Amino acid sequence: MKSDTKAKILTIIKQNGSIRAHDIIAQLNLNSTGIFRHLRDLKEQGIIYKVGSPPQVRYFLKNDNIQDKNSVVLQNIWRWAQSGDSLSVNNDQLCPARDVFQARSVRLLPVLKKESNEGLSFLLLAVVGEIGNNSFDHNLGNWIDVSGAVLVHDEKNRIIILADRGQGVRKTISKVRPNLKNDEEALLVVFTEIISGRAPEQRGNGLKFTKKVMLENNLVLTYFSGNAICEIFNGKMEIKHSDTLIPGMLAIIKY
Amino acid sequence: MRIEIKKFGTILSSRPAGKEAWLVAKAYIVPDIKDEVVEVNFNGVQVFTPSWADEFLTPLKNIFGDKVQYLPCDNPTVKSTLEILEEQHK
Repeated sequence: MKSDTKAKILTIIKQNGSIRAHDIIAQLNLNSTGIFRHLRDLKEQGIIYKVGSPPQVRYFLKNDNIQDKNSVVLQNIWRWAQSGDSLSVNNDQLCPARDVFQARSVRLLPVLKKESNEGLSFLLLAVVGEIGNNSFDHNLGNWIDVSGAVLVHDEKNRIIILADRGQGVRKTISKVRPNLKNDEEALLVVFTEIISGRAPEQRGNGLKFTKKVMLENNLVLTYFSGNAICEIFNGKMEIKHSDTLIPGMLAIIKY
Repeated sequence: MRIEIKKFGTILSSRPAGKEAWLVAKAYIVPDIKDEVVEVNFNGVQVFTPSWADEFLTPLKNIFGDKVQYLPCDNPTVKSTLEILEEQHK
């Protein structure tokens, strides 16, 4: 019986992409204590994971995470971030100048407010602003091929994607940190230290702010640059090697 | 005197915008007397980021030091940004 309920829960999560416990309880019309116990078991078994903090917690299937690239739009932007393939993104997704990026990011706010609470929507927009503006702050006049940053909101999969064809994190901080051994070290520096590639200007808080917001609100960030990936997930940050080379940056925020 | 941050906009999220706001504030709003208390009111602001804040609040702090007082605000982006800036200024 227990496994039958678990199977039903997994089916509901799969059908919805992600769902709140409250909605599972309503659909199954079962005791909430039992549903929460099943959800806890499934989480401990690594089958599902949760994103957000109460009352906005949503459950996702583990094999449905961003690494599996279930989002079609993410697959396209992934391809663009790797190769600059112009057919992979459209004019509504690519912001060729900062002004365009600013205007489009502001338009996210009413949509995010509908899908989450007001405070969380403000925080998400702040993170989008920090990551996206970094693209322009550090790469203006120095893009690999395509100028600007991609900004896409995939409402169905509850992800916001940002990408650029810039120099990448390691190169942007190489003047102030010339002895970095690899891209992983570079990501560790920008996510944990106050530093800027634009020294002697005092700046470089954006990604630490991003990390703080992600951790405090149990959100998920996957950030690629070079051959490194920074994952903030389940209240922890992990930086590791990535076989996928993203010359500039690709960031995926899941909420 | 009191600076009303919302008068610069409710979504404050880039360095160029923060820098521009500071230049205007310095020319027309910030007092010449350096021992005057400067209260900063964030009420009405929706999104406040470290990039914008660093361009505006850091030079303000450099001039007025401890005379700058941030008025209480519930907005989570204001709280998180001020915590990050405080860490930077340590």
